[in-house]
Amino acid sequence: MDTRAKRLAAALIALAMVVGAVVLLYGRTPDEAGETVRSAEDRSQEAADAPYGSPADESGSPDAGDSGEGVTPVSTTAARSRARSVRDTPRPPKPAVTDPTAPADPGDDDPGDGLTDEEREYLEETREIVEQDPAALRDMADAIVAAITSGDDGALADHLADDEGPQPEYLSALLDRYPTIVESAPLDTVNIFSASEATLYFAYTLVVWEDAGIRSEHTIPVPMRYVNGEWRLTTLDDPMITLTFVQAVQL
Amino acid sequence: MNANTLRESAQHRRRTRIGLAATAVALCSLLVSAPAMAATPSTPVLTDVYVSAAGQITITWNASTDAGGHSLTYDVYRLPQPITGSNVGPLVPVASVTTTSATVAALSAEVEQSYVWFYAVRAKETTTPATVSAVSKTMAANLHGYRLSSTAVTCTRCHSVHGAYPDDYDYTYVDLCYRCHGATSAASAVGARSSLNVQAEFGDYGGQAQPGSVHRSTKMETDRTECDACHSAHRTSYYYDNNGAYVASSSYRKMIRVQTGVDADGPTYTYYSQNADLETPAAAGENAAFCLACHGANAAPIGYVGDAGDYALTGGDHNSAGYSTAAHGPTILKSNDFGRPAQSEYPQVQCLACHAKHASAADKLIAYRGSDAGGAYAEAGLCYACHSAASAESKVAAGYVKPFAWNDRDVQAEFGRASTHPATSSATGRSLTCANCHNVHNVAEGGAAAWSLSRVSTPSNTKNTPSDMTAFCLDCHDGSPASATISDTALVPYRIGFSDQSTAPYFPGWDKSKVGADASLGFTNSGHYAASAANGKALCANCHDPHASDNVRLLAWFRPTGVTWIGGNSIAGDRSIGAGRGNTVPKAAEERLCYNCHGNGTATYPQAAGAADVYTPANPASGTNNKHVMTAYSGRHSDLEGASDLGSANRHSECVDCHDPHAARKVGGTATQDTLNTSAPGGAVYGAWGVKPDYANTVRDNTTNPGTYNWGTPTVFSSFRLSGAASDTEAYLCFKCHSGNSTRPAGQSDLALEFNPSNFSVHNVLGQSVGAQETFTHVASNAITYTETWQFPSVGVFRTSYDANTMLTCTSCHTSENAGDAKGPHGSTVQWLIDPNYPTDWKTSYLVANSSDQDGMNGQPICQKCHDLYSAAGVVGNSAHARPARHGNSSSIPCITCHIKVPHGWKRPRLLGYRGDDAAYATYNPAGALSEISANDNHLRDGSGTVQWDSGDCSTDFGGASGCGGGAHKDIAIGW
Repeated sequence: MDTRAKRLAAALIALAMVVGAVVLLYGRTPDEAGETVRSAEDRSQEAADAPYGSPADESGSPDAGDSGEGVTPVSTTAARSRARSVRDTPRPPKPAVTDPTAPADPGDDDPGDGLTDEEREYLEETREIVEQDPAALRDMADAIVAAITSGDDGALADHLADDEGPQPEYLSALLDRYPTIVESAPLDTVNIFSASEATLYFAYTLVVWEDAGIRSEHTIPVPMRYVNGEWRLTTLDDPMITLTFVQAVQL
Repeated sequence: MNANTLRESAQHRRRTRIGLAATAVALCSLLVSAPAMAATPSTPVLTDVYVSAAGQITITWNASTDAGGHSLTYDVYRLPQPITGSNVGPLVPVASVTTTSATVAALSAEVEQSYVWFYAVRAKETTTPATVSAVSKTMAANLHGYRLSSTAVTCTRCHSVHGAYPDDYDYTYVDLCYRCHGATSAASAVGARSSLNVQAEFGDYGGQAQPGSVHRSTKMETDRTECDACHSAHRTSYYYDNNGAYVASSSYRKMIRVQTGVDADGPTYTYYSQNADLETPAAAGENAAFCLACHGANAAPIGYVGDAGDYALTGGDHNSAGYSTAAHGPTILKSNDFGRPAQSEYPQVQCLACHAKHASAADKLIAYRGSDAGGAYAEAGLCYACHSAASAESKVAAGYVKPFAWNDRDVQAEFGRASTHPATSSATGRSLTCANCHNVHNVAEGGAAAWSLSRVSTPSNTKNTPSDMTAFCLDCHDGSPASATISDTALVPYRIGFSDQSTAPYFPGWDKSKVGADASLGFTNSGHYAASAANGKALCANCHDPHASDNVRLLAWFRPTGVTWIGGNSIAGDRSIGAGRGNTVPKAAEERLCYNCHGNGTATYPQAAGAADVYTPANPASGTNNKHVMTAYSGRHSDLEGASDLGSANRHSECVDCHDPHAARKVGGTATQDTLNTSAPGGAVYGAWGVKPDYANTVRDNTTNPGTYNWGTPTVFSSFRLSGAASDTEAYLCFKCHSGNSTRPAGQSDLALEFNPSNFSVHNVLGQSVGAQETFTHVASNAITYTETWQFPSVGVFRTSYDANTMLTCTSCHTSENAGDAKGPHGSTVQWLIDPNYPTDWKTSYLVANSSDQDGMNGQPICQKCHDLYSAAGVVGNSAHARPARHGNSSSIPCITCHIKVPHGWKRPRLLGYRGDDAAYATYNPAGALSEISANDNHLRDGSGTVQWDSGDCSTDFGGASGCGGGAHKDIAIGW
């Protein structure tokens, strides 16, 4: 298996997990909605773990995510209703609604990855979007980082996807998010996420910033969408918006 | 005379007199040269009488003629008064010679009376009976002043009758004086015709080495009054009338005077050396009136002998604070004439105890009892002449004994101790003299109290007295020590300077008035100074000896006043010179000095009210690695030390390694910084030196992390002084010893590495506005570089008020928060100086989920101080910690099963470590320890604030070969 194939396999596995999670989410009670994706082997392993933890512990301790009630997030951002209505091409496939009790019928052409054709197509299309013109993606990422570095809110606004509106609060927060950036270098990884009907492409830049008088190195994400054949800055990386990992592409 | 002031005539009048006298002399000469009586030798013509050596008089005359052709001898006679034919009769010749000169030994009384005795010669035939000539004119070796006898040759020895001065000397010109009082050589002990080689004193021989100072102004030279300014040539030291009676009122021992005015008749003078003149100031016994005539408050006299600025250049009024009542005043320190026979015949100029009258090898005319000793008495050398146990000084008032110093201190010996203020001046660098702190003309004895203001002067102007002793010290220790300034209103006798310690990286500086440029951190704003009056102040005097100490930096101990002592226990301290001396015993050095107030309230370690107890936390009863080791070493710390002195065999920690007692203070009621969300240092360490790592110049030591600086070890450090500025962090202080800046003992990690802000996980002690990171780029096990996002849960991680960006300090965890203890990492009952309120070793704590431990951690590990793994009652808040049954509830699965053992910072996110990592950090090693994390996985926060982790994200050998997540998860496809 060559490297490209390995990447694809990994991406497909990841996508399968995402899809599976969605299936489980839709198929469970609200109390269970936060349960982590868990394979049959997981569950059998839990049984095997019994000597190390009582069933009572398990029943009394739902997995993380079950309870966010009454807890104030570290930071919040004003909801952007327009952003939620964004729809991209390709559109993320809706989670398949299946009868979990029905026997699997992979069909003759099923590659055994657990993905639907629509999901496979989505993976392929998003990959092609990234790979078709890496320079354009990198140019926009660099331009966005340059605007952040220089504190140029006007330039940042110019890079924003038109269908998300002006989003001044977001842009202001983005400009304030990092200490003074003194060096930056683009990285080769692009992580693709879905958010409702939108697809987010996160490019990354290795930056050196000066914070409290100290220079240190960090990776910062550059959230973008591919809108009408162009790369644009997106505001959909808001912490209040649930992202679902699709795949990672190396430039 | 019934007044101090005698008036001489104007110059033209004097010249008239001189002319008349010269005429008389000429007539006499004609008579002398007239033909002798038959058979009577002609009268010898006396040509000179002078001091040819100390105690020796030489008399010369012209030969007589004898009509009878007989050979002649010459009898030389001596009397206190002029010798005439009337009184020579009974005299026994002091010499009889056939030559025309004789040299005789002066009588002791004659010497004592400055050689004012007269000599005369008479020629005598060698026949029997002998025929003798008339007695010659009479002369005294000391020719000054005598004019009442026509037989005495005086005026013409200096004055020419008809216009031309002898040898062309201007009668006011110094060379005229040097004709007798010089004109030999600098090496000669006496002048050409005098016992005084004044020319040598002033350095007026060609090629002679110049003195350090001379009593001569430019105006004196211009006006040719070098000698005339202070002396009258027309007085005599001892006046005997023609009957041989001593007349004290006509005697002026040193012929000293000062012009005090001028009137129509010419200058008016005040004479200060009339022998036993009860109406002169000298009659009081001891005085400096003669000197103060110019150097006192009334500067008028100097106007006649000096240029306008000369008064200022000599320091103006030397009596500004009442010289007569000063410690060196005339009632205590006596003049050189004190106790000598016929003391009242001397002017008793008391200043001459410390100053030379004419010149000195030292500057400022300094000499001791008339001797400059080649300059040995300069500066402190002069003071040591008296202020020493070896002093031979005796001319003092009754009751005063050597070493003539407060508390009987041998001042000279003091300045031989281990640390001293400098006692000598220098053009550059370290420079200070006694006179910079003590205006010797003004200061008083000061009583029994230590650090008495009355004994000191303001160094920047010693004519003044400081307002208090702190002001006294800060007058120099304000970063701007005074340069030498001598004017009529300001006197800094010598330059004050500090040694250059700029190459010492952690030197606290001589300037105690500020830290760096921040005057708000000066001593007067420190906690030691600002302590309330009720609790007393810890001032310079309480921790330093102003002269010297056997400890470094003048450290000494003297109990502050006004202090309330816990339990009533305190240590007095003393400054005696005996064995109990406060600055030689351990209680005045290193941590013991601090424990005199910052102790635990016992008799050995007292505690002042308001002073935090450092002793108790710093000396826990038991435990290992739970205290800084102030008591373990002595003599290792130096404020000139560099980084190499902080490690290896010289490893040490003294109080001043972390505190500057001149700047330290409380902030917000606590001594250390415990304010939430800051990495800034607390006031207790203001002024202390730390080091700032250069994180942009780090050595990457782990190639699996592509971040250039992730887990990079800083190699470049710059010294950094803590002042509470925005750029400060308390951690810089800790880095000084606990990083690559020094050689650390085995087992002590590199904090600069661990707290590198580029690390993928780090506790934020460096004040980063962005704390924990959420996006990481790393090289995975398949050699591909991945960038992953691990968002922080917004629930189940932190206690209220903390979040991923919360700034911390080292003392957030390493401190003693017990009531009454000084905060900070002095020591603790818990290992690694952890806050004793969190006694559970975090390495043994484990995940729990029960109502009694609602933070999710067993016991009270230090992690609980900020972290709370619960998101709601009874629920562990994020998925990674969501299963106590798997990840805890047993001491066999402690937190360090997944997190590194030294939870400062790490190269992987969330302090996640592998059991195969560096042993110093490797996770708990039994089978359950984490061995790998899945790479290329993003962990995102969902709408409830949690972040999902699956069992397949981690690999362990937990539960046997199947691993934590089962066989499928044991070997993660792409590992980090």
